[in-house]
Amino acid sequence: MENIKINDDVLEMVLEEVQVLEQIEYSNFYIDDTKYKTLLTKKFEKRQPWKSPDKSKIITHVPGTIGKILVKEKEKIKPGQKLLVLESMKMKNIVETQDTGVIKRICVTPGQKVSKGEVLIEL
Amino acid sequence: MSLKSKTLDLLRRREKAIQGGGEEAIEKQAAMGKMTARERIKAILDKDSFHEYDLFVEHEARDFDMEKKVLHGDGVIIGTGSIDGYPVCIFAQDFTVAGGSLGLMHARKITKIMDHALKLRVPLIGINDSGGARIQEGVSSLAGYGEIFFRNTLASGVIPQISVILGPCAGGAVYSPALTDFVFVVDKISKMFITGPEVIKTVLGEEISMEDLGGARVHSEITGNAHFYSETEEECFSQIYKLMTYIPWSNERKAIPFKSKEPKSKYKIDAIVPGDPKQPYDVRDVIKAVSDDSDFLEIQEYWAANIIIGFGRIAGETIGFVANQPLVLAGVLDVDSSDKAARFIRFCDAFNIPIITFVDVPGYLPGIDQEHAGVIRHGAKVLYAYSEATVPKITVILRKAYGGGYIAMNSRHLRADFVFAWPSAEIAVMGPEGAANIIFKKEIQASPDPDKIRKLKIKEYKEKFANPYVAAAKGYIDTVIEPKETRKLLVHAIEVSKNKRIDIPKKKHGIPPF
Repeated sequence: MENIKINDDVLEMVLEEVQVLEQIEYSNFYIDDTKYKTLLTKKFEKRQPWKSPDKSKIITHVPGTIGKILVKEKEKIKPGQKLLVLESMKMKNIVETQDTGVIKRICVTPGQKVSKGEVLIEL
Repeated sequence: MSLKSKTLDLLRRREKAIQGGGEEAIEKQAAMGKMTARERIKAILDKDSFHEYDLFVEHEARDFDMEKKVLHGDGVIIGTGSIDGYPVCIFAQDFTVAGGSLGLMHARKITKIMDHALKLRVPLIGINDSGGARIQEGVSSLAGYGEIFFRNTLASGVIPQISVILGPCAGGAVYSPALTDFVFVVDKISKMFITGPEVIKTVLGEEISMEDLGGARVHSEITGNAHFYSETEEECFSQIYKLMTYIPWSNERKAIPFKSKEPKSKYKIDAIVPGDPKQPYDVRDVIKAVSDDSDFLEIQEYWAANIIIGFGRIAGETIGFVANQPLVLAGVLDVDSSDKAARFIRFCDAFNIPIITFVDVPGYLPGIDQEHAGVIRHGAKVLYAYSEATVPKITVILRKAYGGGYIAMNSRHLRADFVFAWPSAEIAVMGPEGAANIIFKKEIQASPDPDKIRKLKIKEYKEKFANPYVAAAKGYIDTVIEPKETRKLLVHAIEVSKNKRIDIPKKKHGIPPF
């Protein structure tokens, strides 16, 4: 109970907490050319745009440490050829190529820690 | 020794054993903000209903000086009791005893109570609070986990199984909860993961906290592993209590009916759904506008929120509600929402709970990420689950029911018993905009004013097809109803479906698109 003074009259009243109604901001969301008003989920907003795989770059699919490098720059490579050793998941994984090409640049050195998606070799 | 002194000896032994890991360990547990295993059992079960077994079990480990150690009850408490008069079997891992680690005898106690639950056809509640396998017992603890998983699977669909994660639950241990029907988690207390932050750091070089890796929020919002989230253990226990009132003891029974009660007057069914199918609203209000006393227990509230699942009652009988949620992602079906709905439908079917489906779906979510995440396989789960279900299945189409979404949401074609549609229903192969753009593509392109002709054609399509009457003319829906008639018709449909019986072809089991 609170006492409130209005024009010299003292009124006793209960003050309630009033929740301010938030104006919800809806997003536009398209399906089959129809525009819907709706809320988006975090997962939906965070989704990564798809990229077509770049065959000129050999990337890591798991994080790890670079071991021995088995090829040299300017070397011609053919499918099945061993490129380098990537120590990851408690294993020495041999990275092989599936394509034919010439090595333009080796981007890593033995002992280097690499994360997922890092470029190892450019063709 | 007289019987009296033998009895006194028993009491002394009992007194000692129920101390668990002793005062210091109990204080540590409290410092972590956690109740002890005994306190938890007491809080979940009816007063004085708990009877404990295997209190005097001792471990048999003989390596690493283990023979010198006494582990009271081997770190787990098992017994029988009741919740609101319903009999249950329960086990609770005791973190105060060797970190609740699972050794051979610990596992044998759990499997003993699981065997009991299956034999007695009563629900099983498991409280998990364990550091994992007891390393000193080696392969015996692995065997223990295996025996538990096997029983979880055997009991699946026979008795309800509930897992309560009230501490760490890591490594192989997480697979027992994953095999059960409902997983309860509590903020800051529950932690579930296959490999912990330490291992991830050494193997992958990635740093993450336990909470961010597998805390209660992660499993409630991101993975969908948890079904019920709460802030405190007390809140968690009241959620368990509420869930128990909706589900039967076993697959041979029906849930105990309540007295029928009208929905609360504040939910006005004809004032919730906007006529324009592109506008959002909260479909939970529609459920509350038809359910007894406007009661609705939502499951997996924070995960795949574009579909709503949960229990309520119609005319006193437990109902499983499934509804597209236009408030989130316009209510589309996608990988996660399909997964969520399909599993719930299978639970309802296994435990004789009729299913009511509210449809307002624009279709399946388009996108490369969805296609690559396997929306074909996951989306098929919904078709499988509805088709396979033999419990009463009732559908109410509120607004849009487009394309594959129409078929999947318990359509007549998947053997819905009753399909009702509101006058706002639009049963069509896709939304008018998309359909007009395809059907009238040539005319639109050839026109000097394509926008004008497009609008005209959309309008034409809308008038012809965006209604329930095309489907009604083919008998795909049974009747078009006024929104305010919905509850009356649902009550009737549930009542006339009580003796529903259909025979499915004899088989060992189907092969759902897991």
